[in-house]
Amino acid sequence: MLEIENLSVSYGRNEAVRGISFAVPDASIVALVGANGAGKTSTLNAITGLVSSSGRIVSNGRVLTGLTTDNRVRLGVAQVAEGRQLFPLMSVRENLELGGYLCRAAESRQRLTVLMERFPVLAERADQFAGTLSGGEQQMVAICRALMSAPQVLLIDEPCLGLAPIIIRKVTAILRELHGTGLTILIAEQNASFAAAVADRLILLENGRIRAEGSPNEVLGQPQFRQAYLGV
Amino acid sequence: MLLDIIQTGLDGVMVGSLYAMVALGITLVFGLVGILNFAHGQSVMLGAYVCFFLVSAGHSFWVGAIVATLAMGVFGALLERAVFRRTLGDPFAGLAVSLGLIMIIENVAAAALTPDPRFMDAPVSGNFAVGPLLLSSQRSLVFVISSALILGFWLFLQYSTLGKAIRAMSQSRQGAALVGVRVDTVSRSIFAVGSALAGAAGALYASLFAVTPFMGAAPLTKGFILAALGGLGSVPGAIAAGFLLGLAESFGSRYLSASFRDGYGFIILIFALLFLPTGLFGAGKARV
Ligand SMILES: Nc1ncnc2c1ncn2[C@@H]1O[C@H](COP(=O)(O)OP(=O)(O)OP(=O)(O)O)[C@@H](O)[C@H]1O
Ligand SMILES: [Mg+2]
Repeated sequence: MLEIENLSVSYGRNEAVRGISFAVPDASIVALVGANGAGKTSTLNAITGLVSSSGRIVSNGRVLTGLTTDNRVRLGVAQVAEGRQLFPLMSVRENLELGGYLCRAAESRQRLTVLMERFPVLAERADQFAGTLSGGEQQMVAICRALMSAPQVLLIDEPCLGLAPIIIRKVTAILRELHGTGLTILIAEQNASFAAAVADRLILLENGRIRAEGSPNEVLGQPQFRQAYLGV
Repeated sequence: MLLDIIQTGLDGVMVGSLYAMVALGITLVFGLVGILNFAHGQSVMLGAYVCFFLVSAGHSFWVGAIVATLAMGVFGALLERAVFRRTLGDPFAGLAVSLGLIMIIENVAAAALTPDPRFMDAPVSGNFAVGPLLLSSQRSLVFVISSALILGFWLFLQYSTLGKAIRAMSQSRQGAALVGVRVDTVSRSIFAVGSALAGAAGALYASLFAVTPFMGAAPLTKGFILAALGGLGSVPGAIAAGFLLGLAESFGSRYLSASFRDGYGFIILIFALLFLPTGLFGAGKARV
C-alpha cells in the first residue's frame, strides 16, 4: 500500500502539486489523470525523490519522506519515468542489468532470465542499442528495467505516450498481468480511456489539486472531468 | 624517408597519449556534470611538482608518479567540495570560477615554488634500437604508461559496475537515479578521477619536460581542443582526438614548420567544427 498525505511540490514560485492526499491499496492499479501541467509527473517524481516535496509518503509501512532515491528503490518502489529514460547507447541487456544495480548479481541474473522468457522480444533484441528500438519495444524495456529491482510498488508515467492502439492493447495486457501478480501500480496518464480500461480507481488532478476520485465510471461521468479535460 | 615518417609517427603517438589523458578528465567532467573545468591544467602542474619533489627527495619515479596521481585525486575532490558543488546549477559561474582558480593556483605556485624551471631525472635514459629505428627509452616508457592508463580507464568504464553507472548517468541522469545510482556521489567522484588522471599526466610530463608553475596552460588548451574535437562528453572521441593531435603536431613540425607546433591543433579544430560539428564520431554515437 502506498499512502500519500498532504503532498506538495514547488518549482521556485510555481506550485505544481498543492497538498494532495490519496492511497494506492495493495495489488491495485490507480491512475492519476489530468491535462498537461496538472501535476501528474511531479507527483510521481516526488514519490521516488527525484524532486523534493513536502508532506508524507509511506510505502508498505515504511516512511519514504526525506530518503534518497536509491534508498526508496531499496524499499521496493520503482518508476518508469516520463520519456522512459532508457540508456540509449547501451544494449537492451545492459539496460536491464542496470535495473538490478542495487541487487545481488545472482538475483539480478536470475530475474533477467525470467523476464526474457516472459517477453521473448527482449531476448531477441538483447544486444541491440536501446535507442534504436521502436517506441513500443522501448516501453517494454523501460517497464522491465523497473521490474528488475523486484518492486512492490511500480509507478509508470504515460505508459502509452506515442504508441499505436495495437501496442497500447499490449501494454494494457502487460499491466493487467502485473496486476495479477499482486504488484501495486500507480499510473500517470493523460489518455483517460486507457486509464479507465486498466485502472481500478482514477484520480483526477487539475492544477495540482484532486478534483475527483473514484471508480473509472464515476470519475468519467462527472462534470469536473469534462471541465478539466475539455475546458467546457 | 620511410624511417623518418615512422619515427615522426611514433613521436606523435607518444605525445598524443599524454594529451588524451588530460582530455579524458575534461570530457568526463563536462559529460557528467556539465562543467567546463578550466582549472584542470592545474592538476597537471601540481602533479608534476609533487612528482618532482618526491624524486628530488630521493624517492623513485614510481613512488612520485603514484603519489602525484593520488594527491591530485584528493585535490579534485576538494575542489569539487569547496567550489564546483556550489556552481552546479549555473555553468557560467562554474566557468568563471574555474578561470579564477587558474590565476590563484598559478600565482600561489609561482610565489611558493619560484617560477624557475626545474628538471627531474627520468627513470630510464638513453635510446634503444628496434631494427633501424632509434627510440628514446623515456618517451617509450611514457607512451606505455599513458596508453595502459587510458586502456585501463576505458575497461573500467565498459565493465565495472561504477563504470557502467557513469555511462548510464551520461545517457540519462534520471534513468540512472531511478535504478539506484547515487548520481550526486558519482558526479563528485568524477572530479577526483579526472584530476587523478591529470596528476598522472603531470608526473609523466615532468619526466620529459621542465616543471614550471605555468606548465598547465599548454595541456589545458590542448585538452579543451581535444574534448571539443572528440565531441564534448565523448570518451572514445577524446582519446582518438588526443592521438590525432599528437600525430598532427609531430608531422606538422617535422615537415611543415616547427615553430607553428602549437597551432596545428587549432587548425584541425576549425576544420572539424566546420565539417564535423558534433565531434569526430558524430553526436549520439560515441559518448562516454
Ligand atoms: N523542472 C521544472 N521546473 C519548473 N517547473 C516545472 C518543472 N517540472 C514541471 N514544472 C511545472 O509544474 C507543473 C506540473 O508539471 P507536471 O510535469 O507535473 O505535469 P503533468 O501533469 O505531468 O503534465 P504532462 O501531462 O504534460 O506531462 C507545470 O506547470 C510545469 O510547468
Ligand atoms: Mg507528465
